[in-house]
Amino acid sequence: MAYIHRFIPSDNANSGHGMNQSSDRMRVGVWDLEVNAGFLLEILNELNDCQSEFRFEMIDGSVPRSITFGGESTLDWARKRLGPKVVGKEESLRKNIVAGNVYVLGQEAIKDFGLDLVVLFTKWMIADVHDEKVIWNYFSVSERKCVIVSAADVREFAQKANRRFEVALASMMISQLVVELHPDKVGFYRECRGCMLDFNETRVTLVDTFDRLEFEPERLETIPEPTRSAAEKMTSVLRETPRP
Amino acid sequence: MSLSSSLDLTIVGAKEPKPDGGACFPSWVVARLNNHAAILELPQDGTIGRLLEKRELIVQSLTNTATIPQSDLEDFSRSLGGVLINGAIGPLYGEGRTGGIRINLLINDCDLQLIPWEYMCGPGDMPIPDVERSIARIVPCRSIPVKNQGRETLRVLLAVSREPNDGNVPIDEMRAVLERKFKLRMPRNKVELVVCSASNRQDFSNAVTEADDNWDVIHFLGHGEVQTGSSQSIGMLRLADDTGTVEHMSSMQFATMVAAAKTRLVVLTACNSGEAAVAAPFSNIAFTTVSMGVPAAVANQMAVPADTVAEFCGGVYDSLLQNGDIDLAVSSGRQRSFTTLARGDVDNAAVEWGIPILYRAPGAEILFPEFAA
Repeated sequence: MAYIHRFIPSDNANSGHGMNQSSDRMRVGVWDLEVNAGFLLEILNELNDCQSEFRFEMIDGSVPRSITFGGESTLDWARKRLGPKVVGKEESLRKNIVAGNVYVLGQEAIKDFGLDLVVLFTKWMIADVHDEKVIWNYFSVSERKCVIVSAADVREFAQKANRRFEVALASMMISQLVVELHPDKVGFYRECRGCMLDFNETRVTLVDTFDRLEFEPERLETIPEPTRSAAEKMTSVLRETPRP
Repeated sequence: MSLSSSLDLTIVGAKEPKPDGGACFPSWVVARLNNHAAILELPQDGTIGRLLEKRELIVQSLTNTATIPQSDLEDFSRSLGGVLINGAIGPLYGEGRTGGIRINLLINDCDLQLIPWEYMCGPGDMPIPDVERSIARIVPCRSIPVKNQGRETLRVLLAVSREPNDGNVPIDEMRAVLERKFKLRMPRNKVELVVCSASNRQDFSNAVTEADDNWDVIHFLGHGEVQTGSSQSIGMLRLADDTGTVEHMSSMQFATMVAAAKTRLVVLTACNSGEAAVAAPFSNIAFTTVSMGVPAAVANQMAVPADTVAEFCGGVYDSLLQNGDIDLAVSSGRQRSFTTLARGDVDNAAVEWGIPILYRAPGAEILFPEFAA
């Protein structure tokens, strides 16, 4: 069973809230920030059962709306970095949330629960700074053991691929998790082949990724063990989850 | 913990328009504490207008279109106190404050009702929620005595609908998420929580009326809006099913159903469910609900996320089970809301604790006598 932690901010780092931390597994906190993925917990339980590398635990906490909201604040954030280059891109930018704000929450959760990693799901697309370049409309990003996954358009894409929404979300989580754990060896590929490591620049190609739910063998080889085996097993569970 | 004093503040607005055609601002506050009374003229120097502007900033901060530094929110809390707890009313407040004070606001003016007095603190108070200082909006109505029904636990019905922004979330998923969030925060073994989907009026009516026993609390979580007709504005709750079919339930229909169910507390987590407008009595769903005979209703002045609502409710129910006092319970809920909110953005004040409004019938503060010490 996946634990559910109620997140109450604490000044005591690594308090762990009395949770059993003796497991050899990597503890991954999963936080649904207003995505309302009702049956995600079921999928996390299945992922926990199929491998012994990761243990997924849900986090549920009260967050100021200002942190989990995109809109004008994202536009302001972009203006400060891009200046006049934002002209014509305002509508697109408003649909994003600034990753830096969400990372703060993730880091708090990591400290408070003594987690190894945290995954935060948001309904917005993601804007961030990567290699000193402003990026936006991203499906997922990560830094310092904190993964953010966007559920924007994912319900629609999952439906087109005839996959459950939670399965689609979990597949995105696994991909970004693998990249975060091995950033020097694993990355996303611009060429879309229906693989879980596709970059999906045109977004809609994610439908194909959801449909196939697999790592292409050549790309799978880049993932070091034991992460690779765990990722394969989890992907297999997702693939075999009955389609809706 | 108790609130041993009641400070009744009746705010009477001037109805005559200003000579320059500007908005009508109220003129007087009449205060009463035990056998003391005082009267205060409200400032006519634009202070009220500035408080309304600040309210708008709070709304904008929730959608991240404005930033309110913590120091600004603290100034706002003090300004609210400076308007009402002033002049001859100050000593009355000071006298009542020593043993815990409940402030009962009875306001007849729309603009003044719109001001979020819930953030108010008095002289010497910290501008943060305090369980020994409650604020209730009194609804002028006939108060029906609340009977001891011998309850040992609270029976809570949570009826879930959807906000328009969550239109693509299947209602069953929404229900599952909210059930998890609320159960995680309820006092253990003391709250019987039943979560149902309210996709249409019939669903809601069935859930409210088909229980074997009365619901102590009926909580509607969804979306509310005010529809303006040719003669009046009417508060509506929006109900939507998975096919996208939308039905509206008027404040009168809602209030009639919940009043007939003999519930003692209604919680409305819906945009605009607490929007104040005395001039259009049915536009305020919470106000209407109390007018129709439900002793108390808690509504939101602005939209807040479900997690925050669940934390607030956990605090309310926990306190109700200890003392049965709804004023104290709402203050406890505010405190829970304040202390459990993740910090995140340090530049922006946490405003969530002041958003719930308690509407209450006169004298109905002890909502559950069976839990009163």
